[in-house]
Amino acid sequence: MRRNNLLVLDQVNAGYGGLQVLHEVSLEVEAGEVVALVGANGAGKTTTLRTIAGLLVPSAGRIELEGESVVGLGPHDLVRRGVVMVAEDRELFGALTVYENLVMGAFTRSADERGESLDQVHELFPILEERAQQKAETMSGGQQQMLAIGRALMARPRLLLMDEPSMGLAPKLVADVFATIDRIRSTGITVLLVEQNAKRTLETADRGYVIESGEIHLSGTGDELLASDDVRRAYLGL
Amino acid sequence: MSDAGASSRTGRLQTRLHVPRWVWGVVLALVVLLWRWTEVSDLAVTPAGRTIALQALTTGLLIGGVYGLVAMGLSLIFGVLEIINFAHGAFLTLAMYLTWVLADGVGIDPYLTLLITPLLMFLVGAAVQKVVINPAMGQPLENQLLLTFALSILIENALLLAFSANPRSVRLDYANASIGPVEFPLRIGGAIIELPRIVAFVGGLAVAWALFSFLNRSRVGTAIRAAGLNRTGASLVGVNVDRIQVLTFGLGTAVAAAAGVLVLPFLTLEPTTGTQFNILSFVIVVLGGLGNIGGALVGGILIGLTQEIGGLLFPGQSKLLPVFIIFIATLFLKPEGLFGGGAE
Amino acid sequence: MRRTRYLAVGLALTIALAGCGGDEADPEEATEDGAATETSTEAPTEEATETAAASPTEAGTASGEGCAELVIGSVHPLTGGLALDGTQMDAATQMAADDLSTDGLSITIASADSQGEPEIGQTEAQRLIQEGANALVGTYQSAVTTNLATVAQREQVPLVIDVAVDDAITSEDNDYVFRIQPNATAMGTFGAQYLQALGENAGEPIETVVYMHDETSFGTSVLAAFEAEAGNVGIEILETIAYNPFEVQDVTTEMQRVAAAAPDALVVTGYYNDGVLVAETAASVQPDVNAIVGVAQGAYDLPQFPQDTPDASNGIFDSNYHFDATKERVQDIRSRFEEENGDAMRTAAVLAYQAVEVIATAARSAASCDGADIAAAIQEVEVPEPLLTFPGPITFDDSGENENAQPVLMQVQEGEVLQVYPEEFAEAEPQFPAVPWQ
Repeated sequence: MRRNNLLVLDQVNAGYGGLQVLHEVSLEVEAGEVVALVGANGAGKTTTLRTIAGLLVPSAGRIELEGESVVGLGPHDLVRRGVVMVAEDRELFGALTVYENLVMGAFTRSADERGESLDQVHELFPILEERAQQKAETMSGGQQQMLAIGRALMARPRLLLMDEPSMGLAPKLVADVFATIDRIRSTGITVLLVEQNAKRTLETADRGYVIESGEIHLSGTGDELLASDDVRRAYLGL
Repeated sequence: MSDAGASSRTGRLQTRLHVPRWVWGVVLALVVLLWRWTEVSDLAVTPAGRTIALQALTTGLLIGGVYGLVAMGLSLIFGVLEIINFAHGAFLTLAMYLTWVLADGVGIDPYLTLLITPLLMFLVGAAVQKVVINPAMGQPLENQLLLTFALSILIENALLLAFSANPRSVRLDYANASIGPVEFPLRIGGAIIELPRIVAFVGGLAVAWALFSFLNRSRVGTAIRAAGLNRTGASLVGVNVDRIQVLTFGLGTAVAAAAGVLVLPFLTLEPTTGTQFNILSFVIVVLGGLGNIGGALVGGILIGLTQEIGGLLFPGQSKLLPVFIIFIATLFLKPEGLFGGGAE
Repeated sequence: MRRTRYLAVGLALTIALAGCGGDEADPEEATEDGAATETSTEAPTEEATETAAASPTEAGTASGEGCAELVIGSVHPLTGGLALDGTQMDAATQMAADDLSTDGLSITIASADSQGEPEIGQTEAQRLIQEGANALVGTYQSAVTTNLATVAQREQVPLVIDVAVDDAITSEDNDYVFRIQPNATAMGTFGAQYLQALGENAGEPIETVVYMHDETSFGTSVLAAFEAEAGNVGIEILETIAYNPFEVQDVTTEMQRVAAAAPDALVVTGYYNDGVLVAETAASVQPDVNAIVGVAQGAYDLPQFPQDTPDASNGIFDSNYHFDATKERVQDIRSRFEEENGDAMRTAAVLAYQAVEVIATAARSAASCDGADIAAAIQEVEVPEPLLTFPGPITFDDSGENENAQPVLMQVQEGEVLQVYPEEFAEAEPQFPAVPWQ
């Protein structure tokens, strides 16, 4: 089966300072998919995402976007190539309003594109339209999460990297987040999703990888992984 | 309740100015100082006394505009790069020597060098940031302080070597000219207002306005503001933060250079001339709130006024004395600066 | 708050550095070329750590047996912000040594760089003495000279001060320090007297003045002397205005106070930069005064001054030390100096030349190269035809001060600095009343 791979990681090593966190991590993301990367705290999920996003430079291995290597490119370069990350800490512009944050998200886009994206984001998250003039730092956790996702979407990504979007949110909001991810997929955007919440994630994802201590241990479709005994024992509490 | 996630690694750049009540507090303090002076001095309500008071006000206001401009450059650099640029005054001096060479050596009108000097100093600043400071960006704050400090000494001594300590000056041929019925220097109520100082003030405000516009409306300005608000967030929306930092350092230096061009026609130039501007800039930047550009401008004017009006009250002392009094009072009462609002 | 703290620390650092200046201690007050840079206002360093004093080797012969080779140590700022005058002074000592050497007595100069630092000047002087210097000349700065005075006394090697104005350098207790130029007290006293004479001779008495001065010990000491004498000559000081000469950028407000007081004359003491600033501001504000008179003012007697400020200098007076432009010998020395060195010879250099002359004369009279003998001889010596505008020969009192030291009153006339009073030194008539804006 030929794969229409948007993103390929092959034998990637990466870490911080002298500490190597990722050991020969390999994964693929096909266009239009939602791919999950699950694992326990400290397993290397965020590190993987940050390496893809250009915030970290791998010490070995390939990272290719549609066949072209993107190793060594910074986050700003990747944004222009359509790879946008929603960071774990969200990294919003706290002193700016919701509207201004969204506009900043479209920094690499033309004014027309920006207008269009803004409409789409407002449709996805009506509350961002309601509170357009509110300062980002005064919003609740759930609202900030939506803003962070909305801002990322403003850049019209092909590949959206999401780092633990449901973290710290109440269950209702968690459901909202995953519903949002579904809707994002339906617009044609590919999503690579990193989460601790394995159940919901694997339910939503098309495929997934399980990472442990910086190594990929399992991979398969969402359903396959949900059914896997290892996964059930380790991550689903069953 | 704000979530920590939104303000982690939040930068300190503020490019919009709204004047809070505290400014009126300082203005009130100045008025009180002036009032006190009229009580203490025999001249009090005589015409001569009014002239002196008016002179202090105008001199302070006009030079304050320039102080504000210099401080804006420093504040901009701090707001985006979060480094305290000790070499700011040295760059100012360098810019002044550059202008002196052009004006005295080549014969260009000093104000025309506004087209040349800030541009060259922009390149100098950008180069310094890229080659010297950028490599040190990840290091602890102390290292950066020492680095810019060493830079300032280097530049000062290089200038000493190149130009010697002999004082230089550039004077306008037309300083005492008339434009129509208006004669310079202006005499208003007995106070003397000289042309180069007026030009410096107006020019300073013009450059400040240009900087504001650039930061708030242009694309690069937007990128600078983003980098100044959240470095990581900015790179996540596609801003090349490294390049922006280089640009910002260059821009802050260019702004100081413009101020240098504006003051050269009425100051004496020596390798150490920028040092006093450095001191005042630090005070003003803290007063206005670190990273608050508008606060720096207003703070500059306030400090200029403080110098002159305070100088009336302490006639034998350095004019820095009233400045430091206000500075220390601010540190005690409102440490984040008069306009600062962001928590550390 | 952490960043604000860093900023405050950095601020303190910057101020400390500014206060200590880039270079050196107080530049010499009545400086010739006005290379007065931003420097320290610290008091001159007191007796610094005494370095081990080796017994000086004598270059010349022992006491009483005549002197064939005289070595004079010349300590001046050869580098740094004051090097302009320092190097001239050093060159002048060399020229004097060449001029005054004879078959019977050869004079050599051993040069040293004080770098403008009291500590360095002191150690250099010490070294020169150890290497055989029989006398010292220097140093252009009061703070450095004070240290040399201590060395001179301890090593029993005479120091003849060419330029340093602080009264406290000389004293009755120190038999090894001599000064040719008028000291601060002399400057202030003569200044008041000349002011009075100026008004009287023109038929427009000067009875009130406002005194603007730098706030360092230079300005305050000259002012104190002026104040003491002012009462004797019928001058009332309406107001004194002090300013920081290293930071001042604007004196318009101060000048308005002068205008408000409307004195007969504005008196100014200070360095070059602030002097220029005062002159320019006066030309702007145009207070109603009959004259602007510098007393030991570092700018107003320099040829550079009317060139730098053509519109604000004409008519300004300065009562300061000066080479005697009316004497042929002085003109000859100066023209030869200019030929050899390219620069016009300033008064500081002339004083350095004079200092060598004093030592040489004393050495011949003592017929000895021994430091103590020469010092004793200097105490008794009379050097006729001084190169400066002194009314009599150079001769030293018990404190080591030249009894005949006096400044001369000069005025900028049509772009030139001319001596105008006392008459015996006048190159032109004083023009009074006179202000640059009329």
